Amino acid sequence: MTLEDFTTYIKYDPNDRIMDLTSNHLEFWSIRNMRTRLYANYGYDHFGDFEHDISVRRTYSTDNGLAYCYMLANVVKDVSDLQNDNDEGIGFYVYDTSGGLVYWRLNEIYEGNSWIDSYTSSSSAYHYLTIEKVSTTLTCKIYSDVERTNLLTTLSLTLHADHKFKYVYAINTFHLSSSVTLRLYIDDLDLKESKDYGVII
Amino acid sequence: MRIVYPLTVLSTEKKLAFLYRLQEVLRLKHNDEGKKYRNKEITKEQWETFLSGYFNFRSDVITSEILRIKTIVTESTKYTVNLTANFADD
Repeated sequence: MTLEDFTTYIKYDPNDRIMDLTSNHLEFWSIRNMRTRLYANYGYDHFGDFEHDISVRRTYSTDNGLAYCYMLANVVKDVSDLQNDNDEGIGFYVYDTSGGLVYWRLNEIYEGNSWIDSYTSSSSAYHYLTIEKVSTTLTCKIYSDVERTNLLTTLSLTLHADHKFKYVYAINTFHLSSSVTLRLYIDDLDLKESKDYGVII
Repeated sequence: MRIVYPLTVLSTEKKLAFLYRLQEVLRLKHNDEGKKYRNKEITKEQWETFLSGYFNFRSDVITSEILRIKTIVTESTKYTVNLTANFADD
């Protein structure tokens, strides 16, 4: 296990929404009308098939609050811009609906469209995610324990292309002209690969 | 490994329901074994053998089949839907 060091990631946070940023942990007070992201460049086509782990906890949110706690893409943008510009990405986000439900969603964005598979949990405990891509199958297993012995659900999507990605995001926003909020704790992003980056282009 | 449907499960709708139940029963089996591992009733090696030799194959096959059937169901025009009439405020 080699955890990502969040302090080496590139931060875009003009409104100071990222707090308590340490090597394996961060707190994200997302506000939808404040674009925020934390990401790293692993190089062209780096992420093909993979298995990634991350731990996420939602402690507070208001209706329509939404934040991405994991994303892969080939551009550096807010997710709404990425979708509007027909860029591709896959990710995982937490969304507090206006109906009082909190959705945990696996997501693909491609050619201006968005596809999801959802799990509902209003728990403020940590959720332990294992996200796996094999060709055009994307799955996310959600566990209630760090040892991943208690499985809560398996989310899945058939991807619309066998994507390869350059950037990994620890957080990202989906812009909305509203100040609705959602608070996440994100820990222990493990890309399960060596840290010999080679040449980054 | 592939899914063997009961003879009574013929339609895509029934297959999807069957697959979600199969996935749920497999999840419960996973968690039973996980509980044994946490309680030290089985060893780490036994737990990992369960994952690699039993759970992962079945989970992958169920997921693949769910995605295949979901595509069929999603693209099916069998039902006429209406984005106004098929919603109510209450």
